Amino acid sequence: MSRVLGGLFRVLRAPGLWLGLWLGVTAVAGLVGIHMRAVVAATLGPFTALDLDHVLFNTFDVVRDHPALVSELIVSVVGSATLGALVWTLLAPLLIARLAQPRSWSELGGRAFSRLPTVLVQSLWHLPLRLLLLLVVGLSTRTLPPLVTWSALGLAWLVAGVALDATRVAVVEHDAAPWHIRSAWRGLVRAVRRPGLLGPCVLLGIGQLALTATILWLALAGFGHASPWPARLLALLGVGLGLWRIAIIVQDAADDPPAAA
Amino acid sequence: MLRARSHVAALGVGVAERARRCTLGAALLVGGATGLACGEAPPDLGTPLPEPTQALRPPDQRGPIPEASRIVDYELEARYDETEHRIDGRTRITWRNHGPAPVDRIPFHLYMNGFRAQDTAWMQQGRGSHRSYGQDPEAPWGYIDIASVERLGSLGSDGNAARTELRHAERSEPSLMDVWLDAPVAPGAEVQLELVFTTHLPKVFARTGYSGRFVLAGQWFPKPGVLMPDGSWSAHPFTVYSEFFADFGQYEVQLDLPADLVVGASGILVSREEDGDRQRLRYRAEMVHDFAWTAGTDLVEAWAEHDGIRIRALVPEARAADAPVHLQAQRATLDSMQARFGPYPWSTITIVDPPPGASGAGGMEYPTFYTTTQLRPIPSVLRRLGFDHRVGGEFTTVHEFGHQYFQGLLASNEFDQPWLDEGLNTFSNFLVYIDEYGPDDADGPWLLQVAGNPLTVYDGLRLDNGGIGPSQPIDLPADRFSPLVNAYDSVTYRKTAAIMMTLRRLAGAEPFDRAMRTYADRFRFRHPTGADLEATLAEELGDRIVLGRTADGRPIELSLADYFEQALRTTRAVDFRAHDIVNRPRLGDAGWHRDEHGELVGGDPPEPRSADLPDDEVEGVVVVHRRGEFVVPVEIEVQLSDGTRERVLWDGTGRYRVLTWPGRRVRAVSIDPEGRLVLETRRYDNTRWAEGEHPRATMPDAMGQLAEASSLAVLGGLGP
Ligand SMILES: [Zn+2]
Repeated sequence: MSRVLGGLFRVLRAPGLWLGLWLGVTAVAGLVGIHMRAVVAATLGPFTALDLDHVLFNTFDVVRDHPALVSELIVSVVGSATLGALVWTLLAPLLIARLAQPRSWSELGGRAFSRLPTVLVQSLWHLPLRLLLLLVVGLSTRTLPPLVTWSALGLAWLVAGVALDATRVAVVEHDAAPWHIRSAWRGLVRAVRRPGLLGPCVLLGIGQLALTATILWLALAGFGHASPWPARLLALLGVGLGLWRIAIIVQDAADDPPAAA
Repeated sequence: MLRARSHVAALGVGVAERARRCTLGAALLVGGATGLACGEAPPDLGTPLPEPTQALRPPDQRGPIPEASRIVDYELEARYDETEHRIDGRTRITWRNHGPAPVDRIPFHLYMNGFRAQDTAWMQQGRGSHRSYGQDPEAPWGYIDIASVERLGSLGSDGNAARTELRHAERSEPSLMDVWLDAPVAPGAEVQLELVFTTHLPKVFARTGYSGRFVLAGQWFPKPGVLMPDGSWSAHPFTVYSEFFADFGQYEVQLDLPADLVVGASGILVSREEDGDRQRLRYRAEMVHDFAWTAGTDLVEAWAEHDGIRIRALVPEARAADAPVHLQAQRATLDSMQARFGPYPWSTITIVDPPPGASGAGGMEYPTFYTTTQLRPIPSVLRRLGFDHRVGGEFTTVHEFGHQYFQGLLASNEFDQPWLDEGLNTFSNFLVYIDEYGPDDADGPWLLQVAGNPLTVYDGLRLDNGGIGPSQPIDLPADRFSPLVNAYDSVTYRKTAAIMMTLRRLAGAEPFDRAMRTYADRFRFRHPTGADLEATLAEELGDRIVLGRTADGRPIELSLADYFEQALRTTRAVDFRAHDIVNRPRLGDAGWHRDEHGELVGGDPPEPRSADLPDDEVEGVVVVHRRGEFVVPVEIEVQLSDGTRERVLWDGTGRYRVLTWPGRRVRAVSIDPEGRLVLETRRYDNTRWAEGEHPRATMPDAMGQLAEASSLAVLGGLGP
């Protein structure tokens, strides 16, 4: 529990980081929305009215005449996901360094910048390990009902996420071997061997997935008439949960530092 | 009866077993998503009901049955060999000549021969597949072979009928055969024929055949064509879209089957005897035009009684939990259809959900007997989040029972006018949904829900019809529809439903429903044609339905003949568009005019911009465009800046209609605001707002917000 609370205090002591990340996310999503609005408005010309009693039909009706709108939406989502994967990787050393301890701007920037290449390399090393883990879990559960298989794969994905963050924390804060795959492997082993670390982090991961589903559900349920603010506030919560997850790993590493190179 | 109990007991075990297996899933916090199969009490399958003693309901409940409709009676004996998948049969047919002239040749349908080779009419079109099911390479072919045809004469002194061997020959298209009589049958007289036949069943892919030990025997015996009132024969080759057309009569059927099979069939079970490893069952069906049966193992029986009608469902054991849903759908359909189209005349109905592997048998109707399809329930956790549908096996049950009326009772020629069967039936299915779920208004019940947003029956029809394009008219014989054009389903089923719904919404539900009741009453146990339907509706609703009046009092009418001509026999589309809204300065008197002395006076400048003018100096103009070729009256609703709404009815002739409101500013226009024209598939261009006006909700805002939320979900929700 001390890890979990310790992690939470680390996040609460960095409100600027949390709010700043959220503002960035909201700005990007806002731009995506503005772009989509402009494309749909230009496509539909004067026929933009939405029949709120028949939003499904109205949407299919429009999309049947203008199928490119669907690809536009898909590009927005896939683009956001790609951007997310990229930006969160690039920002990882900064987040870890900030959550580890309060630092001056120059010290923080210097550490984040200097550890970025090792974080990138360790993230690459992590990929085959993650694939291997998914493969093993997928093969060993393939005879079970599909729901169980998919749930197990989802859990494995979240576990791998914890392992990746543990590796990153080790190389950013604890001088683990910067380029060697051994560090990625140790991150995985550390995550799997510490249920007190893994449990809360996986639960937070599930919480993030639930938030994602809730945001999407709100968007569908309120299609055309809902306020955008609940989704934005849920994203604030999502960013917070993500930071908390990383902070727990940072706390764990501070309490019991991983082996240095 | 014993068999039923043992199956119910076996089911209890099966369900308990499944519940145990499910605890693992529940432990993984995902139990809610596994839906029906997990941890629920065994389904209520009802208690086995005694077989009715009469195939028809009592006279005071079944409605009138014209004696003249009884044309052909069958006595059938069939022995099923389940290793060879062969039926050895003998049928004695009594056929009455109700035509105007003597008959010396009777054409027969040998439907099973449609599956005999690649060059049959059916296979040339179907190319070995039906719906999404393909021929099995191991057991692809089905056929029927006629060993002999004899005419039975009067009884001799030995008590046996005199027999005369008759010449018979398949046509080059083997789904048809001719039998030449030794002497003509005079009008009003009857002839008795005996045919010996062998039917080989294919592995089921197109309604009929076997799968493992399950068998669905449809189109399995020779059937005479239908003699038309003008003395010509209606007997068509079996093609991929053509179904079946036959006369009414009595069926006495004896089936000899392996003793351990659970059996269901048209009509009532009269007797059952077991003899070693075989069982002999006798069935009777009255005033029907076909007879089908099914048999299999691991079929669970579920029972219900409704209005004195015995309902029996046979479902695969693994899907026993579906049975109550099918039974409920059956009851709701009976309620709706009896109220709308008159009493169901028979005492039984049997529902079959074909087991896995036999799905090709699913979704087919036979008299008092039909096959449905698997339910596809949405997990309850998703249902609570507003995701649901009503288009799975429940709809199949409604649809296949609907055929008991269209065409079990109103036995139209499914080859010549398939829309009278599939189309009117689909229309009646949506009426069942309206009756069961409501409301009967502009919105109608939903078919699909996504996060609580409904897609209504009318929306569904519009979407389906919008997908087909102007491909083929509705009123075509089945063989004129090509699988390559792929318009048959949409045109015959859903577009027909849309033209009926449109007419109902234009003429008014109450008079329209009354007219349809007249049609149903008038043509029970007969062979109505499209012309009969059109004439009955015109007689009941009037040739020209007055929908409203012009400003100067002239009536705006819908001509039924014109409507049906366009809807049934052309591919014209209903499509209107709000072409423009203009708010311009009202016509004033600025400029130079001559006064009484002939002098030019005045010269004031014109009003510069209407936006700056008070409303009473503005003239609002709306231009409506008929883009589609289909001419039909349409309502136009205009919203004015003073908050009032005005409706104008346009007869739809001409390409454009210009409407003006001097002294008033127009905010928005909406064509067909109540969505009466269900035939109109494109609706988003029906509404338009004037420049500078803002609708309550817009598609760009909605899609923009969806994109923003999706982006927030993947960036923020999934987080760092
Ligand atoms: Zn049908």
